[in-house]
Amino acid sequence: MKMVQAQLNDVLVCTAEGEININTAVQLRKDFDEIIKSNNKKVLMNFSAVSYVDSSGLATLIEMLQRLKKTGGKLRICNMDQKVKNIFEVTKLYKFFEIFETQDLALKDF
Amino acid sequence: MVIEEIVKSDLKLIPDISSRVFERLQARGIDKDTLFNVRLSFEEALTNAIRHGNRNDSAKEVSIRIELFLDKITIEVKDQGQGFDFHNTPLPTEKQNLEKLSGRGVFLIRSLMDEVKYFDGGSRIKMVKSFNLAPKDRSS
Repeated sequence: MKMVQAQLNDVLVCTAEGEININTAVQLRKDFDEIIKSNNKKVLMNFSAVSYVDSSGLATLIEMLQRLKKTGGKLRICNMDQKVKNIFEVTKLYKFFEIFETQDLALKDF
Repeated sequence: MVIEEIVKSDLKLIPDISSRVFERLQARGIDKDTLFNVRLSFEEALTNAIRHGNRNDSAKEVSIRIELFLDKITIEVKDQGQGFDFHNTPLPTEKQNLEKLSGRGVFLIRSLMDEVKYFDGGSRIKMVKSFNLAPKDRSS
């Protein structure tokens, strides 16, 4: 999994690519550590190129959201593939995360 | 088609094992949505077997048996652990569990597969998913 970061005004847009699974979640957690250290309060995960998320990936995303919330930050997710979205729906995590159809809609919500 | 493998208890091996197995299944014409759900369930079962069943003990192994029929796939994963209380796994969708970092693997398997049964005290899982193969695969 790769993640490209870009600052759009006060929002850090993280475009992830590949699979977020039990092995790649380790790197994702490290990336999140850096984001927390850099004091970014508004983080948007663009999932347009994320093809797979397992329960370890979900746990890493939950952890990131919790950490951001503790510092007054926000995490949004956008452009989710239907199969990945289904995992968030089945686990009811769509109630916990704020998920948007497009990057523009997510950016407007911050 | 039957795939049988015995694998070491190493979480890092899961992507390779899964790729090896699912490349063969993909070639048989199973639709992508079914394949996604079956693969996720298989990897969750494998993760549970290695992490919770065998407790990451490299001396222990996990047995895999996958059988592909015209209208369904059955997957069995067996570890060498003590099993677990599969009747009483907390629901991760309940409000008090929604933010918990663990406990979604078994739930995902039960949600994404059509039939899930545990044997040997929970150290062996058998799961079934039904589907329609593409016509070209039925005739071959």
